[in-house]
Amino acid sequence: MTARRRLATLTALAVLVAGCGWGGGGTAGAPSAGGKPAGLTAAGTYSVESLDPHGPAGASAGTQLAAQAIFSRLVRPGADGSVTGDLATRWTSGDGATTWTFTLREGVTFSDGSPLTAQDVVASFDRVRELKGPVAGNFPDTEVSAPSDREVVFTSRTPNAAILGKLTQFYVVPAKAGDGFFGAPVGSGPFTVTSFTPGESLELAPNRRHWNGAPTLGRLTVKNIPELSARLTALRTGEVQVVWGIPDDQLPPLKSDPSVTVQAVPGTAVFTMWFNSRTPALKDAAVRRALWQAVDFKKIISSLYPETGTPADSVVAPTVLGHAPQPPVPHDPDGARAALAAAGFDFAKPLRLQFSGAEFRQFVQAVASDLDAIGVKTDVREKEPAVFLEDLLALKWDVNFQQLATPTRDAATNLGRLYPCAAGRNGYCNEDLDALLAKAEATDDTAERERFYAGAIAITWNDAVGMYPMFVKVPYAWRQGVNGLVLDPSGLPDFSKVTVNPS
Amino acid sequence: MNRPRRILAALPYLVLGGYGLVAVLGPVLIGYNPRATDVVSRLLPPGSATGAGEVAWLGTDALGRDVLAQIVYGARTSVLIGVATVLASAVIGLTLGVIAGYAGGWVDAVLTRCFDVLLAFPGILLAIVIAGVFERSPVVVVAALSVTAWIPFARVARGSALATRERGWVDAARVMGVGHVATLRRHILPFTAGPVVALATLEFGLVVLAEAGLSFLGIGLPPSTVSWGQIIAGGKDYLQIAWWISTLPGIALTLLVISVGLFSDQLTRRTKQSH
Amino acid sequence: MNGLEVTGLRVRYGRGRRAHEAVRGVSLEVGPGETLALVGESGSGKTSVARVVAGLARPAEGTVAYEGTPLGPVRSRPAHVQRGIQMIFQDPRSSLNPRMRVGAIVAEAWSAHPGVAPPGDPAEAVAALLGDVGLDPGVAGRRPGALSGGQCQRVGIARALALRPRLLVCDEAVSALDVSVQAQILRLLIDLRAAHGLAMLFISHDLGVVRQIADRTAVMRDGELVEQGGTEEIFTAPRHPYTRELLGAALDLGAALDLGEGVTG
Repeated sequence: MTARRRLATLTALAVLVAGCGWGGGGTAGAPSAGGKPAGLTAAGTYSVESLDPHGPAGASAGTQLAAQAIFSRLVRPGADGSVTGDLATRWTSGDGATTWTFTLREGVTFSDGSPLTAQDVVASFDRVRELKGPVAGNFPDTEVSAPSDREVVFTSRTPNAAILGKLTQFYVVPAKAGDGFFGAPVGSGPFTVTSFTPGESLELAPNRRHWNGAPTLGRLTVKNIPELSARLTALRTGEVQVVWGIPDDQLPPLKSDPSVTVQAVPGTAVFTMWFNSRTPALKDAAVRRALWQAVDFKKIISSLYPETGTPADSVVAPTVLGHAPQPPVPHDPDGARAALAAAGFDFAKPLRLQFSGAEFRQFVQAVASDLDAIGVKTDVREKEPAVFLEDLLALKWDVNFQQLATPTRDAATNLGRLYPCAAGRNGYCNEDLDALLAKAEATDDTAERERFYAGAIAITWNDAVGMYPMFVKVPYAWRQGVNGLVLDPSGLPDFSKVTVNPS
Repeated sequence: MNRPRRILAALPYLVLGGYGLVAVLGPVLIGYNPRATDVVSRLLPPGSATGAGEVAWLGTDALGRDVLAQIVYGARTSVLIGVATVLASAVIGLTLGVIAGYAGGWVDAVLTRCFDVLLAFPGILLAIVIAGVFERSPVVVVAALSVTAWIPFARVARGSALATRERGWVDAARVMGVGHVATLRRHILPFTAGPVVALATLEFGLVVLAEAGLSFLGIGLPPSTVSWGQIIAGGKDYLQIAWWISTLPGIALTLLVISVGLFSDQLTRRTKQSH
Repeated sequence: MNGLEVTGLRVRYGRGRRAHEAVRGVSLEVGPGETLALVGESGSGKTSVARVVAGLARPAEGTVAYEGTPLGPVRSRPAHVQRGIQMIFQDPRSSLNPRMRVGAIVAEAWSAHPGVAPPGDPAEAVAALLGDVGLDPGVAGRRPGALSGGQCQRVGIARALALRPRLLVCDEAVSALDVSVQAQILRLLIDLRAAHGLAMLFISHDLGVVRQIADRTAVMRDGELVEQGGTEEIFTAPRHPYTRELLGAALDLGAALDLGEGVTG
């Protein structure tokens, strides 16, 4: 009797252990018993709120990360920062950079097997313009036509030299994409969507029909773990294998973990703190500049970001075409107070300072503290990503903190898209700036463009459209066994060539 | 009672008195501005000297703010929110409960049913919803916590009123023609005080805990108000490299809640003895 | 007849199948200045009659009228009737709010009926009333907990007198007191009755007490009135067998009490 009972207990234990092993294997992404390719779980800094790269969230890092896995673009940024073909195999410009002709790759299909044609490109582009999302701001006055199934022509009234960089944010979706499509989209990218819960997780499977061969990963899950400590714990336990956007404070303990590799790459992102120039108190450039002087960014950066921060000297990062160094804005609280008083600044009225993302909380609070020290009150508001985005577009803020990346590596993306009067993104409007940005768009001579952008950056910097305190390095950390991860300066790593060794 | 036990019994009073003193006097003695950060002196362990030349006895947080000062100011916040919530809950609960118990009949039936239904709501969830919907402010926190906190008061008061209503002096007052309001005030309400006070201390502990919970979730008090929940939340990313940020306010919170619980037990025992 | 008239009174407690009828059709009268004793064993329904008269309980059937005015629950009574009928309770201690001082307890009556409030200093009026019931004026500052049972009952009587009632309902007013104190309180009631021209409905199970105070006596059993008449008549020539039984028991008890007193004395 006792022997039998002991046997039963042992069997139960064995089943339990096997069950644990299975569960652990499933979440850790080790190859399962069936020999299926291993999966990978990644947790980035951003949540994926929407899979629609054309909609209002189209320019957000989360949606871009998802879009580059699910959809294809005509062109994409290459490893060296230049632009390479994705759907397009070659392109030519004509008529002084007002027409651009792209030839599509042959035999590209969507993951459902239907062919991707020039009509899909045209329909996608029309959709971008119709939705008037942030990506649409890249393409004012641009029309697209499809002379043949494998050719698309972009035409604009004015020259559009930076179109290649901008098109790296333009994703092609099927022409028939309608309401509800983006709940379970069909694309031509390296992965297909298995399931998607906005703000929580995106589960992807390799696209067997991808023109460049299916990824070797059996499964890719992009999880949102908003709590930093939970995210890093997940990396240590192996629940996720790749994490990026790790704050400096957490890097030393992570580096000491032998099963984790940490590497930071110079990014395209700039800590950008726009002033809302439509706020009466902030209309005056002297006021905005004085506020900038009030903050000791050098001290804040060296304390909070000793590993991933460098004081910025421009509106765009050095990794971005058009970067032009500007004279530093010195920390001068007394001068700032005097300048504000001289400009008749209302010290009693607090400035609404909005941001999103707990990882920026300390930086923003430190800035608020320095402003407070000269008597400028701030009402710091940390918002949910969706609310933040909505308020950002509606200009419901006085100072807006954003980590603004340039995934296209071209100043046109952020300068040309965000700063013209017509964009109305920060309430700032300057005809000279508009003219320079237009001229930069109008030539495909890179040296010329750099010159115009240097002028535009000087205006933006000197008029203090915002404060531009810091360039950001992007730290990545991955577990042993993860290979082939393409680290991206914009925090949009490419998983299509990743392999996972059983560890 | 022998000596060690007497000391043990006095402990909650000592601790609570200490908290009261800290809440009242601490802010006078220690200056603290939650907006002022000192990033150079961040994450200093307890006892270090800060950049400003002061000693951070309990260390500094990730923005170089003194943890001791935060605990002191947080104590005031917790005590204020706790007292305000318990007062509001007690007034509402006592009024409705005493009315239910005194009136009896259908009034009692309807009110008691309402109490039971409300009691079925998970209080902290309801508080999270309410605090989440409205803009962060102390008033919203008090309201959110009071929404369910008054129900125990109502039930206790009803029970007391129900029992007191049958006492001789209430009959005597009726025969004399004393009005309902005066009868409630003079002949019923004073006799619910004992159990209600015991309950109030217990509720105070729970409220302080719930407030810390709300603040921890970032939906309670505005960030400009120092609260233990917020300090603990702010330090949880640093448990590995700066344990003191979350741990010390956590200990302060635990000690307060335990002392309040012990104090409440003693009160309950005493009111039971006197009846 | 201008006093209290109770006609066909029935009192029920509970509802449905568990209902219990405590009073089953009782009719009685108390004339002005007259004292009617209602005697019977405990559970005979006499206290229910008292509570209906005082307005603390509702009759299921029957009417109660006082000086021609029909009587409902105490709060629905006209002010002069409300104050005109007062009650002395069985448990003197619990009929006084332990948190209030004696002075406030007595004066509370006047807050409900300002019409009979004394013109001068209420404290003096309270002192005078306490004097009337044989208490030291200093008692006004004390709480019931500091008084003896007899003192408490005197306070209860003072409180009732404060409203200058015409009918006093005494519900076992002396039965909770020591025998010696009983006699004092009884004496006090008899004196006050004479001084204020009070009518009394005197509820008691103690026939010895009843014989001392009542003009007429009514005997209750199981919610019904079995016999009523002049007190002497009832005591000397009881007609109903139950009355005789009750008297017999009282004699035995009285003997036992005498014996007990003999032992302690």
